[in-house]
Amino acid sequence: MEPPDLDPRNEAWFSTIYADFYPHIMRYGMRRLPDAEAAGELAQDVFVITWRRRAEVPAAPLPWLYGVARRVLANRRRADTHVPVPVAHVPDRGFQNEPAAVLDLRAALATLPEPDQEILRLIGWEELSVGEAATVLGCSRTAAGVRLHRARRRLTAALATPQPTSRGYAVAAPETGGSR
Amino acid sequence: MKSSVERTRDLLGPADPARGFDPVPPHPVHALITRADSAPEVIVPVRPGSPAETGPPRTRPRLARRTVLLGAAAGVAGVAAGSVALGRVFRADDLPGPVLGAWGDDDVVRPLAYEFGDGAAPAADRLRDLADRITPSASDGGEGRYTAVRGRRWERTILRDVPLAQGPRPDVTGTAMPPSTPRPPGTSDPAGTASPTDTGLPPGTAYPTAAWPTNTVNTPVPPRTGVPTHTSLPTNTAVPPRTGLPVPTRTPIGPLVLDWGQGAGMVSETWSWYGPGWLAETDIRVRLEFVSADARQSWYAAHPDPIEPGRSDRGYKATYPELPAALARTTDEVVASLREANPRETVDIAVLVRQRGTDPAGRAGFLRTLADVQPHWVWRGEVVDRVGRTGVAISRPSPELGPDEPYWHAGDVVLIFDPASGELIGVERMRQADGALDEYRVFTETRRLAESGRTW
Repeated sequence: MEPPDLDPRNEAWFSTIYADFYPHIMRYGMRRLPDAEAAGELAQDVFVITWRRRAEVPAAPLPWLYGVARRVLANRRRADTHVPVPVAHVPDRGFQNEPAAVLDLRAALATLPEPDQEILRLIGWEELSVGEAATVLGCSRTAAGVRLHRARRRLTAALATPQPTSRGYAVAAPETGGSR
Repeated sequence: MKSSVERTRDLLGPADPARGFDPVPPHPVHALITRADSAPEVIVPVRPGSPAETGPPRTRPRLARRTVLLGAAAGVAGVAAGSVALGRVFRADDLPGPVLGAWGDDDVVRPLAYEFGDGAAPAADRLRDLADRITPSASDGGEGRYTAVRGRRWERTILRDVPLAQGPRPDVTGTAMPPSTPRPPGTSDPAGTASPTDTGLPPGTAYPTAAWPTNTVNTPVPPRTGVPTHTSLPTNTAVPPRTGLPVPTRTPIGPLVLDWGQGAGMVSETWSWYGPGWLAETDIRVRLEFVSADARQSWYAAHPDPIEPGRSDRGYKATYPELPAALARTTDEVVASLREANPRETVDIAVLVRQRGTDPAGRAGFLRTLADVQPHWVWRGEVVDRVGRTGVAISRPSPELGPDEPYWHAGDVVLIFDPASGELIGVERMRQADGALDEYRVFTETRRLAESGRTW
């Protein structure tokens, strides 16, 4: 192991990464998990892995971090411990009187296959470029572009089809998720 | 003309669930580094049959009538009692002190004691009885913009699916009595080292293994007979042994028996404030909690510099000025949602009622609605939960477990209610196939408060 003061990937480096990107990873979790508690757990796992794999972290870390978060979520889903909830079930964290269009949009998004949802979220919510999204997804830029195109087309079709906009019950508040 | 990316953002942006959410990193970096350097890799998935799977074969145990004692026992005071004047305005300082025992005193999963057996009655009529008898709780009343919720949650998550790459294997059977020897009534197992059966299998699974009943709604429920049937807890608990009751053979299952990793789970204890709109603030304390004293010993032997027990980290904080429509619903509306919910969502709704719940009528409504629309719950009678409180439990096997489904989908659920107030006080989730505990949660406080901000 290198002496700490010669290793740029030291605790100070990690502190910067953590402070800069923790909010991004939390938001990533909030968009895909039912509550802030679960998002916090996800963020913690992501940064634990980041430290372990600090040698692999690229100079522009964010897409890489999202990729880690994505895999952590996938593993949790497999383990059936923190199954990401469909978008329609994600609690409204916005403001009162959510426009009907927003509810419609979430409902439509929830009807799409997960890969479609993910590319749309990465572009629309994480505001990544197509190339960055490709890094997260582990595919080529071209493939990501094709996925985005198809996902947009399916979303447009879903929006044209009336969807129930809610499940009729209040969303679970944070601290819930007991049955995940 | 806008690009496809820009149009996607224009379309989706307003629906972003994280819009306006700007969390502050809650954990000191050194805590993460310590965890990273000491705990096994988090995200290694393990499938059945892989070399990392160390549990016994997953044949389905025969269901038998028995009493279950999960985890080691320790004395903990029950929930703080006390009547609450309606309409009183509480402040954060009014919140009661610790009711879960001193943090760090005891890092072994505490027991859940209950009895179950073949032919358990449908829960519906009992739930209606409970609803009819509901009394106000210490949580009721109070006014304010915030709801404070306190509880613990244990999950066998971080270490569950981790290969045993380092250190000695955990000795989950420990130094317990010979496996086939029934523990004499009244003797304690304070170290939680009780052994599985000599086959290495958990001796029973808590719930029916057949497809869950769908035709029980009209099944007559036998009248409630006599005394509660749970056995006494070990003598070092705060709950006095119940003398004069038949003492069934007590057989430990669940966390004493199976853990893929090293017998450790992560428990978090939280005080959360639900302010106008969304989570206002949460204080979280996290530590390891082991399924047995032996598991703890083995784990620390393998991890000489582990996560420091008792470390307290400030939680995240987010505030929103307005109430989202979803959270503006009344308790009655939440309860009504039960009629349309997927059975898997029942627990979420139950917890939500608890979190909002300072309202006996709302609780009664939940219990009655549950009885009406989900007849598959079965009555498990009186239990003693993981913080020593007496409750009544209902359970249901995983509703979507088909014969070919993998065992990790088989999360059976137990809901525990306060027998007087009808409040949800606990949730348990286990794997049906082996009875191993996946998660437990306890709720100890819910209060309406005029402010948020209490810290440990």
